[in-house]
Amino acid sequence: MRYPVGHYRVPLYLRGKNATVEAIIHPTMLDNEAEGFGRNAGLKGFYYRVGLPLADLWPDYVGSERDSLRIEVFETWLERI
Amino acid sequence: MPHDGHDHDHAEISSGEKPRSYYDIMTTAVLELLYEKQILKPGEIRRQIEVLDSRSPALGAKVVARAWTDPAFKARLLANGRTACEELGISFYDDTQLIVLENTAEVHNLIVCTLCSAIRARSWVCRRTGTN
Repeated sequence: MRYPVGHYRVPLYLRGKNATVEAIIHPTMLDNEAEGFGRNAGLKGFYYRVGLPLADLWPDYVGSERDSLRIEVFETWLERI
Repeated sequence: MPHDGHDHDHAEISSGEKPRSYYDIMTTAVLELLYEKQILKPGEIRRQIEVLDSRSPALGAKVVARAWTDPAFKARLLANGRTACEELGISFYDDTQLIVLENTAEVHNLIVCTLCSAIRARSWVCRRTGTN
């Protein structure tokens, strides 16, 4: 799991979790993290919409098992499983 | 009144202004650099602040009300939030894209901020209230 120093736009609670890709967001967007640190200016990539049950994120979640999270994550943070 | 080792009275010595905070000074310094390097003009900052101040939740209410009464508009709104809002004269800047989600009898969407105010990515919690 990656915990790099600095400002990164993926919530900590999501890192290392398994999720299902539900959509690829068009058009491509700037890689904000690289841009923010002045690297690879203008580089674009895809956001992927992934979904997972809230109970997978919060083991002590007491709500409905049908409650789930959708979140759009930049491609550099995703790994095929 | 004599104080701090000297024998005469005088008014408090200060610049007469409230001390500026660290971030206040940093903001001014960054702005001056942007102007000096001719990356931005002072008018551009003011104009952008005016654009931001002109937005209100009433704009969103107008879009939703239109979608309730105009099925064709609703379909266009769900297909492309940005171009549908632009039909109503709501302007966008940069390459901001707007994705619109529909609540149904079975699915309630709760939009949440994932990190900070500047994030581009969105997330939402989806509650299925139906039986399937």
